[in-house]
Amino acid sequence: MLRWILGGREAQGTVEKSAALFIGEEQPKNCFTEMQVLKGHFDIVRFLVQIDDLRFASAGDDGQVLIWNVETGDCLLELRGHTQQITAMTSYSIIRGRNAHAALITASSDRTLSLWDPDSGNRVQNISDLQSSVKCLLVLVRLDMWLSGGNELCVWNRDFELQCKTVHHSDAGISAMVELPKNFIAAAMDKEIVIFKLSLSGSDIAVMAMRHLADHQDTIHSLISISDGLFASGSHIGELIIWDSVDWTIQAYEHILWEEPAGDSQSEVRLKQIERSIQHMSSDGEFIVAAVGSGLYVFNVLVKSVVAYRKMAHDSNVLHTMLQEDGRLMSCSEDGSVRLWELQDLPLPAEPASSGFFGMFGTFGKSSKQTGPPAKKIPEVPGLRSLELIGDLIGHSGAVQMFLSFKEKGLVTCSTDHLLIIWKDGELQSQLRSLAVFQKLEENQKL
Amino acid sequence: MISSPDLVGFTKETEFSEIVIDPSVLPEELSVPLYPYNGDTTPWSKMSGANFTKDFILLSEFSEQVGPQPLLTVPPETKACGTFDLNHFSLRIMSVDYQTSLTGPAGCGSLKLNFVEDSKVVLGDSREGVFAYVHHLTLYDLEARGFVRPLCLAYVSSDENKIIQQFQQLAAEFSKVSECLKTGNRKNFATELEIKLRDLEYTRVVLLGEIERESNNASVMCANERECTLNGIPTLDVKLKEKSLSHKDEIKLQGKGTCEISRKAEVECEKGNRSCITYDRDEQFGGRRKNKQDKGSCPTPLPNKVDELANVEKSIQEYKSLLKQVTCFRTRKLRDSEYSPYEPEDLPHSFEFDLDDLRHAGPVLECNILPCTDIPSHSLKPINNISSCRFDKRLKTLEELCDCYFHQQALQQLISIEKSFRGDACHLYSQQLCHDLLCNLQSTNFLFEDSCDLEEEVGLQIGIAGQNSVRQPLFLPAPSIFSEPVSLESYVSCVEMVPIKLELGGSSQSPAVPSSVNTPAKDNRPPKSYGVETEMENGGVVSASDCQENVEMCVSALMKTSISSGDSIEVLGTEKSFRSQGSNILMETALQRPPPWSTTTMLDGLRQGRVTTIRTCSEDSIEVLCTTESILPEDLRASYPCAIDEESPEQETVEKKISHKQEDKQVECVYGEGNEVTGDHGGACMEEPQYFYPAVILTPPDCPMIMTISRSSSQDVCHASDSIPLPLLDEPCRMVPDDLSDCFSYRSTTASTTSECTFPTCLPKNKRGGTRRRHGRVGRAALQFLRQFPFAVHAVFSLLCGRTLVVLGSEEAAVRRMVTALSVYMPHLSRYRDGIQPWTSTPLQLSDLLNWKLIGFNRMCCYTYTNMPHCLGHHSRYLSILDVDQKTLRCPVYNGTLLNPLVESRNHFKRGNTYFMFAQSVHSNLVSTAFLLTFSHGFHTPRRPRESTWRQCFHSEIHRDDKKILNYLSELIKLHFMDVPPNVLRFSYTTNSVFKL
Repeated sequence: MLRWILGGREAQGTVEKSAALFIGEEQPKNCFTEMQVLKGHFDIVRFLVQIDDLRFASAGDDGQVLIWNVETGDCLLELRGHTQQITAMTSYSIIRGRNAHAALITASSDRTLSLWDPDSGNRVQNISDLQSSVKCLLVLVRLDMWLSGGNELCVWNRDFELQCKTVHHSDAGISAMVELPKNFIAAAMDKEIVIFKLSLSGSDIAVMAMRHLADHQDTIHSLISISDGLFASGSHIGELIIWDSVDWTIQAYEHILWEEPAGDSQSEVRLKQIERSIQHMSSDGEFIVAAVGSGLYVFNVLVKSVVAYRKMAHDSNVLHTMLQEDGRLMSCSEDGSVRLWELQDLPLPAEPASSGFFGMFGTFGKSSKQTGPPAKKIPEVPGLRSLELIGDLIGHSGAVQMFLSFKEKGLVTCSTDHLLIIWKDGELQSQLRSLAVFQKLEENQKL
Repeated sequence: MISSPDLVGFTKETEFSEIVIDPSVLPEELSVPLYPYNGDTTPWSKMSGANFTKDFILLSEFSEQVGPQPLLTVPPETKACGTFDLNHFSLRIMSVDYQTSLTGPAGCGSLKLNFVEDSKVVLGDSREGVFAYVHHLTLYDLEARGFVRPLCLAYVSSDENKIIQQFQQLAAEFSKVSECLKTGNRKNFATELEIKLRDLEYTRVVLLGEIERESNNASVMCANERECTLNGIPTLDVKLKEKSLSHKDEIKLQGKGTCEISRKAEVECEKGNRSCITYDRDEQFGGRRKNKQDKGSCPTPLPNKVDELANVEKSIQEYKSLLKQVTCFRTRKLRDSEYSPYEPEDLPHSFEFDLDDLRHAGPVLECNILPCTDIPSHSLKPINNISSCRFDKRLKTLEELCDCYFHQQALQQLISIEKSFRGDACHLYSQQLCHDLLCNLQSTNFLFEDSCDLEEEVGLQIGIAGQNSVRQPLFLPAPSIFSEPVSLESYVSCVEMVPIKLELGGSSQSPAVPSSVNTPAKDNRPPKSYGVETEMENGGVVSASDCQENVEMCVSALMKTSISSGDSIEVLGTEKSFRSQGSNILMETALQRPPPWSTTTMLDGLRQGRVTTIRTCSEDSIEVLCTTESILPEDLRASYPCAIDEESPEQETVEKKISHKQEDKQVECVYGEGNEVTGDHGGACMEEPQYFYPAVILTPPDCPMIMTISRSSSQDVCHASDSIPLPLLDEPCRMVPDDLSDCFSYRSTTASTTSECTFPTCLPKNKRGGTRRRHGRVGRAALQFLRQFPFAVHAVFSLLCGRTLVVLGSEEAAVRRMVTALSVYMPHLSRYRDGIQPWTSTPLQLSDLLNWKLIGFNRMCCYTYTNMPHCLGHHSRYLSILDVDQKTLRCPVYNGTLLNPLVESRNHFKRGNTYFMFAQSVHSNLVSTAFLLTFSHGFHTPRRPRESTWRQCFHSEIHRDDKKILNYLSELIKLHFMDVPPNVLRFSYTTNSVFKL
């Protein structure tokens, strides 16, 4: 008898060729050991919106909105009405009397806007004569109004009545909006950020463009609010600009260039291939995580310096990121995986982090060169931390479009493979089931 | 001739007093009594001298014309009985005349029906080695002597232990059959009575008319009249014809009148004496009745018509009384106990009779009336006064007696009884034991048991009732009597007006509005579901109370009577034994869920059986092997003081020794197989002769040889192997005689793998042999797998910790074989999902991993032959992959200890079936630990300061990998308990290793 134990590493050659990182199969810090596959969509699922502690809505290119229970994985409702893909979805809490009532606003390519009641599944409101399809939605909780951004900016009240709208913007529509103090709105339109002012004089509401900020060299993909005083924007070529919310001045400017400053001819060739578009950003007020190409970039807005970065965090473009309270962050990518990261202090600043440090994760062949550069950069920035991969969730067979965390109840991911997956803490779930068992026993008087 | 049958005590009183309750002992429903075999050989080694090949059911009748005669056997005579003399045997079993004892006060002047309870006895013929459970019943026949037709059903076996062990079950099953026959018979009998009554009424009307005319014509006509009567019936008929025109309407109404009368009669009956009316069925009574009838209608000239009329009226009363007795039978029984007779379900609503147990009175009557009004061809005729000679008459066949519907039902039941009691006593015993135990483990038994095994018994019981529902009853046309209003008025003059009373329920009498006569069906119709639902219970109750009553009767029969027959008969057992605990409820539960109960039966029965063998039995003498009375020692003492002394102290010690020995033997049975790998062919083949059963069942296309082997008796098996053609013997190590049947199916699997190796996901039920054969095949495949792959334990680990195992290969047969092998270790996800996909070519989806835990995967479905298909690579984290072509296994390493017995014992087993059983036992060990883990309360509340010792043990002593297994099983149990379909995929992040052969 021959017994060859070939160790933990995959001997199979079919593993993704360009694997930037490979975490071993042992993932002690990854608590997601249970998954539930939710089927229901017929096309790419792009949006997830949390309704309350228990429910969330998913929507995508099949035009239907499904409401799920995160604990049981049951599909509670199917909201049908849109004939084309959903382009934007947000939750909207309507205050009726004293009770806040959760509702959903969806926008679709069929140029309709709908308000749904997630309890009954009714389509409460519907607007179908829009001039352009809406690409983003912004709810102004304070004013009990909401905005839709497409080719023009429209202001709606809670009864779905159009209050006012801006003039038609020629080619590029509004791709993202954030709310600024003093009734100002920042909207990203192609390469510029336009600051709108909502003027509320009695019952008349007017909106006008106040300023055009044209500091980006390329299309702005991401626009987020960091805190009351700051917001950030990211562009297609890796420009990350942090703005002051009040006077709209640039607070910080980072041009994320994954390539080495002193690049040789070889790396220049590769430069063009490296995607550095900022697809998504998220922030907790102190840090910003930017999804730059297939890498991750963590920026501290308080000290205005880079905290950590990883150029090849995924095998493909990162589509969504999230910062957690405990210094961990998650990212999902077109490569179909969700990865869990942890910000770790480097062992010693003096000690140059060798390539072995990253090599520990088993980078393959070509990628060993790519991991080299950040290692060289480390000594340059004091306080630089490393972004360590602590786990990955593999399940989707297509790009993971977005994820939504329910804290300990689990993590929901949606994907181009039409599926949603709820990832849960297996041990916690096991305990919950035990409790349920004992509860049932008590009810049955068998205990 | 038995003047007082020998009765033998099942137990001694001391045994009762010595029972010490051990607190650590298992609850009764979970404890397994050791197999109580008798003698010093294995329980199945005893060869019977009986000259029939397998056990069968015999239905015989005590015909008043020819005496005892066999009517039918199940299976048909040619198959079962061989050279066995059925006639002789019928004679023997029918000569236990159980009814004789029930002679009641016969002199009350009116006809009395005797509602004889069935008797259930075990009879034996030690000379021929034939033993039988005999179930006597009587059916009613208006034309028969004493109105009764004694019948008996017998389960004939060569193994007395089997009969005694299965006594309760047999009694229950046969009671159902008996009840089915009797129900149909009562219906037919009532119909018969109706017809008779109508005829009598008609005669009465005719006579009344004649008397009237007579009085009109004064005495002048008297002489003529007498002449007429002297000439007898023909003249009367002529007159009747004359009259019939004018009386036509009246006659039609008679049906209605009868109905009313009988209603009234029934009400009266309800009010009146409801005790069991008995009468002697012997010649004397029949003669008297005959005399009476003769007197009433003899062709000798009557002094006048008034006498004749009086006689007719008298017989009308008598028949009414009979009808009343038949129809109120159900009420009476219901009062007595919670009796409800066997009813076939799914009857159409017109047959309220059966659906409605509680409010039976009205419907019963209707039902009884229906047929007579529905036979248009039946013309009223005056009673033929000349009673024909009984021996000229053709007696009614059973089918005529019982109605073809019920007859069919009963036959179906008999067939299924025969099926369910096939096999030898050990097999039945262990099967019942297993089944009972498994049924008690409801929260875990889904994991490793075949769902069909679990439901087999239930299915059997349902099957009996269910088969009834299949065929629609043919005998009951729609009630059309009430739709003929023409006949309703005119007959009133002839019949006395009776206030109609419908009795509803048992006690309340509600006066029926006339209209309610027209729609009684509605009034009394129970909810549809009720009928179906309660059938099962009814079935159980029937026999329970039946037994109960019956027991007493039959015991009293034993006590009172002497049975005379030419040959002597052994009364092996009657059922009295469970009187001590035999409340109806217990009986009922025992039927549906026989556990603790049947085992005691068997114990007792077997002990009894042992006693019998010790006793010297003369060739021709009657032996009463047991009456089950004996469990009540006081009772027994009182009546049979000597019976207890049958067991001497010496015998007791012998018995103890035996039981010790038997314990040892049992232990041996578990491990014995492995130890005697090569030698001891004869012993091995003796050990499990039930293998010759499956061999018989084996389908000829697989291997025609099997038929010849199975024919040979167990002793000849070694010889049989010689007759196997050489080409089949190319694998000599497999050709140990005890493995013959296995071996053969093994050969056939290799020959036609595609058909044979398919894992039967959906098994037809009621195939014990088939299941066993499948177990053997699966176990054999598993053994083969274990021998082929030294690293098999890791694959087993994957299956048992819920990790999907993909068997990858390019050849379907090989993959399927492997899947079959691994299915031994596969816990079922839930009761109805087994999670096995034996062969697929479509790329795996994530959701497939949730549903399937064992997948046979076609390598050729992907273009890359050499490498793993992409879909497997993508999900490789959740998969273990066994590559059949390259003989590699990629899965997490198992370092625990729990699974080691499963694989380390691979060399100890030769036979698939044994290994399968062994694997099951290891599994059950795992399952019980998992059960403990699931339901130990302290375990799941981590913040408790005091940990239970078990929890500490779990955390400290059990290996991490074993914990994974237990946790997985525990999760399945939880989900099962909560009735949640397993819709989550649990996994762990562990390193995979690749093993290569």
